[in-house]
Amino acid sequence: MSDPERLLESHVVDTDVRDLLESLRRMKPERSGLQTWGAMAAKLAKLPTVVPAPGTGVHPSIPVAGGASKAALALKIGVIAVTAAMVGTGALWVRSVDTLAEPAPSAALTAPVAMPDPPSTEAAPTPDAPTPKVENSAPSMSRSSRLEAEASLLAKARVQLRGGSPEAALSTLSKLQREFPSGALTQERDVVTVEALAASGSASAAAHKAQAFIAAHPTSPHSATLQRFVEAK
Amino acid sequence: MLLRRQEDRRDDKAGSEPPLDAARAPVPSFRDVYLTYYDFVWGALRRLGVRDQDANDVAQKVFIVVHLKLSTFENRASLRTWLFRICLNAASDYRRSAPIRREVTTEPAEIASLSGAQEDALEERESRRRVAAAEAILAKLPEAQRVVFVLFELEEMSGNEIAKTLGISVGTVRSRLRLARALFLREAKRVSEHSARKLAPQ
Repeated sequence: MSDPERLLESHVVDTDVRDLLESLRRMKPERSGLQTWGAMAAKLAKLPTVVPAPGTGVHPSIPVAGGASKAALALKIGVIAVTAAMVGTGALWVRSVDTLAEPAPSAALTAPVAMPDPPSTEAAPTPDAPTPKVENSAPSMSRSSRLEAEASLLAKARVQLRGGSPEAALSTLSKLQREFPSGALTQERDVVTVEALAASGSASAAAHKAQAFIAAHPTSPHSATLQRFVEAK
Repeated sequence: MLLRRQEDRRDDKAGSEPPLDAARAPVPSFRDVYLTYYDFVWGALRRLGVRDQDANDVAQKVFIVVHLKLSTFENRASLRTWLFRICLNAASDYRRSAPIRREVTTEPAEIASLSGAQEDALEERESRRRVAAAEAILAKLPEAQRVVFVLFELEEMSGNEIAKTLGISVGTVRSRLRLARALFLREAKRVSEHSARKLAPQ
């Protein structure tokens, strides 16, 4: 026996109910993880004799996001965090993307940030974001701007999808694919594409894409979501 | 994977990391988990009945548990499901500790006024009202039903996953869901009817 249809996906549910559910699903903290990380790190530091677990990379004394390079690093992680949260919970994108428009600290990125697939250089539409002067890390900076542009496009697709225009979302997604073929958010893009395909009535294309994703990224947290999607078919 | 970064590699060099199962993704660093899932944890706690003003505190308690247990996290389970289980425990501790006065109103009249019957130019305020109204309805559900409702409708977990997470049968999940839905829909209807009545004389 399969699960019943979710209320949010059901066509027979009143708009009022849908709005109520949607608002619950979109609840978002006033302060982000990035903004609360300092307090978290302080709490961890106070824990009695915490032995960092192997592989967790946690050292209570280290993690306070302090210096400029750390702040820049954190800014980038923020982008990823925002994206992951978005895919997971349908969080409010617009606000998140706004925070990305803040110029990165100037001494940015002396620490290299490992991105999954560094965006290729040709895929660099100049975003509208301010581009502060950065002494020695121009390539990193432009990478950060690209990430921002990529995130904005993804946000747009997401909004279109949520707004009931899966076709528009698909067109935005294909633009995203063209402009950022190996961007930092390709997994998130693919997940949204699956959703958009399903919403536009192309169930088999959606299932196909979902299966391809799971095969390519078996350990991605998104795969679990997509697996459910496939199974629900 | 997005989550793995520099600090982990520093650990590798120090040789502190045990050999990883090649088929398995590395355990992500705590900071990455925190930054990536803070919003998720916060939202889950709120949906499970933690008040806005307490949500950050409870979220940090959740992450302290995460910090202590991350090394035991196995990639077989989804990280979200794992985090959600910790949230469930934290939310139920929260409810047990110190009598929590339900500050959210459960009166339909008040809920209707909260749910913004009149046009409101400010979208932000509008959505706040809607959240408050929706929370008030959720607060009316018996706890066991509420958890299933939230997991299924809002966290989009499958019946099987919910059963596993809560240690109950899928049949119980379904029946709780049915009851919760009926109550939620009834309350939502009351709220919107009340709004409609309020609008009618104008």
